[in-house]
Order: sequence, then C-alpha cells, then structure tokens
Amino acid sequence: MPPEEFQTLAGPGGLEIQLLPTRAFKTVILALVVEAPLDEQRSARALVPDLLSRGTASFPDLASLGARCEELFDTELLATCSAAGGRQLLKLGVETVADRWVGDVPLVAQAAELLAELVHAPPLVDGRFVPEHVEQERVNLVRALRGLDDDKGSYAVRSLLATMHADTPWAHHAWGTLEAAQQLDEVSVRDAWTGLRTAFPARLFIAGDVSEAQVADVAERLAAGATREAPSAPEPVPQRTSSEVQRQREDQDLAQSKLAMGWRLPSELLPGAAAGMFAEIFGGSASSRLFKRVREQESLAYGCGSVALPDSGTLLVQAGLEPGTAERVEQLVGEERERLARDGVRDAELELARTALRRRLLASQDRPGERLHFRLRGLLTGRATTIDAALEQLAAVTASDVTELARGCALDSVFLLEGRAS
Amino acid sequence: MKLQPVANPLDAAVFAGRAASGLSVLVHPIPGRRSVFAAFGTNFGSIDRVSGANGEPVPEGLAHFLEHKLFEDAAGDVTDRFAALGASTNAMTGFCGTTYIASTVEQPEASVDLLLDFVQDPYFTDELVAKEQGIIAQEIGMYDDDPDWRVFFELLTSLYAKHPVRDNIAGSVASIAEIDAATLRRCYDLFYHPSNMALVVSGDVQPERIAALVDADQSARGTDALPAHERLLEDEPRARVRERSELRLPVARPRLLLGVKETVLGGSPQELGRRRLATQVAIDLLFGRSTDTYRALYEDGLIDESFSASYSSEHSFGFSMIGGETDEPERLEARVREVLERARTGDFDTDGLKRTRARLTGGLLRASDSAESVSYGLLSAHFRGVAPFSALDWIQQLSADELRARLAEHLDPEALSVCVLRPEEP
Repeated sequence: MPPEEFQTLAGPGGLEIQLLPTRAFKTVILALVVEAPLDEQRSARALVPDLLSRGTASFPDLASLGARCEELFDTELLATCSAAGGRQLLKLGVETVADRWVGDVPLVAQAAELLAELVHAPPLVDGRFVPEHVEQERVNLVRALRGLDDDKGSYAVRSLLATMHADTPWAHHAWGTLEAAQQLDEVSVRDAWTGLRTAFPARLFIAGDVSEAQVADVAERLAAGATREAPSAPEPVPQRTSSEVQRQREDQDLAQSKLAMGWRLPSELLPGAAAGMFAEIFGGSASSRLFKRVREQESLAYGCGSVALPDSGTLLVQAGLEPGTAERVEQLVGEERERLARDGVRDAELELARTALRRRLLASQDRPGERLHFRLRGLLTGRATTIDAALEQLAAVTASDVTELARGCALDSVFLLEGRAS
Repeated sequence: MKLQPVANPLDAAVFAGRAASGLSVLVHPIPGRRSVFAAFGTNFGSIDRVSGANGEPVPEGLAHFLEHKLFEDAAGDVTDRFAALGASTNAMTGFCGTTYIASTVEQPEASVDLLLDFVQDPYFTDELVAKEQGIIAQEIGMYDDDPDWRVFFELLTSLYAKHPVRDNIAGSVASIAEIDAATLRRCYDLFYHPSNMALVVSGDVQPERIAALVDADQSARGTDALPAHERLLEDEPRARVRERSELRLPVARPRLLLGVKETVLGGSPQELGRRRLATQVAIDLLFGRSTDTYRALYEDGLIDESFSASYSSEHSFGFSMIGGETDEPERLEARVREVLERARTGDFDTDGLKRTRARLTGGLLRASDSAESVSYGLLSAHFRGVAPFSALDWIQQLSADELRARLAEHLDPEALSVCVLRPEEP
C-alpha cells in the first residue's frame, strides 16, 4: 500500500497549505508554521507564541483558555519557536481528535476557531497587548535563555556549534540573545506579532481525518485577509576555509564530563542520504562503531554517538564521560573515523544501517507529528519531501559514498565541559 | 493458548490470554499500521529489594543492572541481531517493573521471537558484569548532573525513611560494585519467571499467530517451578523524614519541589486504581492550567511552563509532586502550601470535574494513535491487576465529595516535604 502523502495546495492570501488527509489517526493536527529571518528582531518574535498562548478575546486568560481546551477533549495548544539555518520558525497550532471519535461533535471546527482566535484575536486593550502580560513573558524569556545552560549536554553541543559556525545563522539560537530579550517592550512585540500574522511566509499543515470543507474553513480563518510572501528557497551550506581545529574547555562541578566534537562534511557529498548513513554507521546506534568501541570495549561512556546535520554540513559527535578521559575518547573517535576512511565500510554494516534508517522512515508514518516534521524539514532544506523519495535516496547510497564522506570530513571544533574529578 | 477479546471503549477489542507456563499475553491489533511494537515486561523493579524466602537481600540497583546485562549473551550484543531483522530494541527499569521493547516494520514475528529469546536466556559472567559496572557508573553520573532528577530523588529521601522508592533506580557506584554474576542469576530466577511476566504486541498483527508463537516458545523451554520467595518491605513511618532539604548545583535557575507522601496504601487493585485516579484528578483541579491558582501563580511570576503537579501511587508507596523552576522558591512554597491547606479543609473548587471527563477521554483517544502508548498502558494495567481502560469507567463515577474526602486524607501536613535547588554560590 503506497504511503499517504502530503499535498501542497494554494491557500488564500499566499498561505501555502500542506494537507495530509488520512483516516489512519484519531488525532488531527492543525498548525500554522511562519517563517521569519533569524535577525535582530528574533527575540521579539520568539516571545509571541507564548504571549498568544495566554488567552484570546473570547478566553482572555490562562484559566479560561485552559478550560476551553479541556472542553474540547483535551485539545493541545502547540506554540514553539525554533531555528532552521537562517530562518526562525514560529509554530502555532492545535492537536485535537477527529469528529467521528467523539460522537460527531464538530471538534475540528471548534479547534480551528480557537486556533484562529489564538493567532489573530489576542485580548488587546486599546489595540495593545496587556502590558503586564508582555512584561511577564519578557521575564520568562530572559529566564528561559538563562536556563538553557542547565542541561549540560545541550550546553556543550550549543557551545560547539556556536564556535564552529560563528558568523553564520547556524550559530544563533532561535530565541535570540539575553540582551535583546531584556530590552523588549510592547511596541516591538506587537510589531513582531503583526508581521507573523499578516506578512511573513507561512504554511498551514493539516494532518488527519478532515473534510475539504474543514480544510477550506481553517485556511480562511487563518489567512484572515492577509497577503503573505512566498516561502523562501533552501539555503546553502556554510563554508569554512581554515583547517585549524578550534578547541574550547570549561570546568564545572559536574559528575560527568560532556564532550562535543564537530566535523565539517564535504558539501558536494551532502545531497541524498549518504550523510545520514555515515552518521548511523559511525555512531548512530548500539550497533555503531563508536558505541562498540567507546562504550562496550572500553566502558568509557554510557553514551557516545554521532548525528549528521547536513543542512549545516556538520557531523556531531557527543559523549558523557568520566572526568579525565576526554583525551582518550577523542583519540578513539579519531581512530574510528580514520579506520572508516582507510578501510571503508563493510557490506553487512552498510545494509544494517540502511535497514535501520528505512525502519525509522516507515515507522514515522504512524505518527502524525513526525509526518509534519519530516515534510517541513524537506520543504525548508530541499531534501526529500515524501517518504518514497527518501526511501529511494536511501536505497541509492553505496559503500563508496560513505567512505568518501569519512575521508572528506574534517575535525573543525571540540568543546569539553570538564567535570569535577579532574 | 486461546486469546479472548477484551472490550476497548476507544477502539477495536484487545485480545488477552495466558500461556501454560503462566506468561500473560495481550495483543492490540491495529490494521494498516506500518510498525509493530512489542513490550515484554516483568513485575520486578527497583523497589523489589528484599526477597524473604532465603533471607538474601536484593542489592540496590540490581533490577536495572539485570536489564543491562540481558542484552549480552555468549554470542555478543543482542542489539545487532535485532538490527539484522530491521528492528530496534531497548529497555527501561522503573520502581515497579522492567520492560524490554522491540519495534519493527518488516519482520514482526521474528522480532517478537527474538525478544522472548533474549529476555529468557540470560548469560552472566563476572567478566561481563565488571565491564557493565563501568558503563552503569557513567549512567549514574549522567543522572547526577540532571537537576530535575536530583531534586526528585532528594525529595523522595525526605519523604521516605526506609522504603526503597527513596533509592536511585540505577543504584549507586558503591551498590553496583557488590553485584556479581551469582547475584544476578539468583534474582533473575526469582523475578523473571513467566508467571511474573507479560508480553504485549501492538500493530498490524493477527492475535492467533502471536499466541501460537508464544506457545511454541514457552513449550520449548519448559518451566521450572517459581522458587519460593516473598517480597518484604520494612515498616515505613506514616510521616515524612524531614520537612525540608536544600541542594546546590551548577544551575542558572532555582527549583522548588514540594512532595506529599501518600499515607493511605494497599487495598484491592480496583480500590488502589480508583484512589489513584481520584487523587490525580483532584491535584489537577488544584494546580492544572485551567485553574485560577495556576493563572495567579503565573501572572505573579512565580511559575512558568516548567511547573507541574502530579500524583503517582502503587501498592506500597505514593506521592504527589508539585513545583518547577522559580526565581522565588520561598514565595512559591508559601502559595502552594496555602492552596493545599485550603483544599485539605474542604475549600476546593470542583467545577472542573465535568471538563476533566472530556479531557481524559480526549487524551486517551490521542494516545491510542501510538502503539507504544497503548502497549505501556496495557502492560501497566495488567501488572496492577485491573482491566484495561478502567479509568474511563471510574471517571464517570467520581464525585466532588469523593475528591474532597480524598484530599482531606492525602494532604496530611506531617506528610509534606519541600526540596529547594539553588545555584552554586560563586
């Protein structure tokens, strides 16, 4: 049975509709994903999803909005801010249940109405956001930016990527900077909201058991008479010419050291699925080379793995280690990369990785949220936008593709957050 | 083994049965679904620490250590064999159980077969145990650096004096150093008997084929009698150990977590299930996002999205946990205590109860899209001894008076403790 796929439809006012009509799920997702530049105004825009999630004109505070979501069979609000290269992505959506599972209550229409109010009709006073709400969300954003450092593994990775991709959008956090967040005011936030609801390119994702009439209804509600720009084309991979490895070390009172290593992948080998296969074989699973060597043979880490970030041309290796062992682990990672480059990949190893990635692709069809994410990522990066296309790319990867990536990648940066034992 | 249909108010029936060995089997067919998910669980978790029959204790962290060690046998790491089938595998240990999972899209029956095989064919050597001690020590270190995990367990040690729920699920570096191959074998034989285990399979599968596969597996093994043993617990005082504790870690933001130890324990599985649901609903009506309390705390800048209020309970322990990141732990504590004290004395708004019924139904419907969620739910209901989806019936019967009574007995001031995590001083 061929997988059901998203269709691209032209919506009102330049809104691009991404529709996955399916009766396979009880869940229905309606999500507006707005695409803005990752510029100096990104902190103001980052605040908007949380500010809008505080209430609408009809449900003007957290309690009444929460009660409305409960009445709508636990309809969940989706409000996030993330980054994809030079773009900031603002998502506002709802996840609800298809009408036929709740005794034909018009739940999708009610959820669409709530989403439209959330985006376009916040509880304004004299055309302005409630000043206390803006101030509370500004403080929350400042606190959240400070709190990012509390997850030490993520902190190590973020620090590495900021060094590796300095002076490119890939070094920036979607929420902006502490300094910018501290200076936000009602005017800048209202301007950001206006841009998001009326001007910036946007895609409306609809996945689930919905009718044509419901699709048209939610699109009209969310377009709200605005005229938007078209979504932008995928961006090129950032380049760095220097061959010197950038090293940073920070000491904290931690039980475990966190090591992050960034390798630059050759851009000419990035289209297709070879980078994903390389990362899978190198450190993508419990069957991978890094897992076997660093964890199973030398017991140096609970986890040591790799992931490809092809949009920025990065192979990321990360590990949580006993303090004092980072040098040895870095040596092992380097040796495994060299071995892969020198001796190539075994056929059995290649097929194992291909099978694992194929399983993940096919299994993602069972989760509406993952379907949406896969489609969005493909549209943003120029990579495969359908499961079939991704499977074809995966089937085409050869052992020499992977070996070429191993030979062509170069260690760019290392970040070590060293624990207390050393 | 003949699997019998069990009514599922959310969707098509689930099928359940028991093999001659005592192994329970549940199958949740989902026609058209690409992936098949299998969960093989044993009713043995981190709190099962004392087996009374032979007087030998189960070391702290043993259940988790066993979980790690079953993945390796004389032929190497079983993960590679799953990968060759196009499947993935994993496992997790909790307070009350250990669950091994397999997920696949291409060879579901072979994957289920392998899942049954590796969990039931242990291979322990002192050399492999020594290797695993290093890996688990790293895992313990990883959790030691997780501020939320640290606050959670610090609070449990303030609530519980003797009950092993106070101990880290993975144990400590010292406790796992005492584990050897013989100890693993002894505990495996006690707690991995088929009569103490259950298999759940969810996806596009035929129940009768899964039943036949399990029958063939179990009859090929033969079944030893379950060794005589008893799970003993020391008497746990009703009151908390201490009223407050404090931690300092290298974090940017402080955290407050307030816990209430459950003082009403035991009863039939149904009584326990209803009590659990009533307390969960009541705690949500006190602190959930649709409450005026949540709104006021948020608007006063005392909480943010990290705030949560939850309740967990099993036969021998239970607790509510309320809190999150906050820049003003003392003010938040005072406000939460005020709400709890008012609720204990009956000042408690139950208007949201009707909405809670819709919320629970909607949440379960969305969760039922996930084979993983359904499988874990079925496994949990099985080990708790209640029919699947019982909560949907119980929620209809809950009354405002029952919720008030429940909070009056649960919110005992002597059972309440607070943990504050602060950033390290510069």
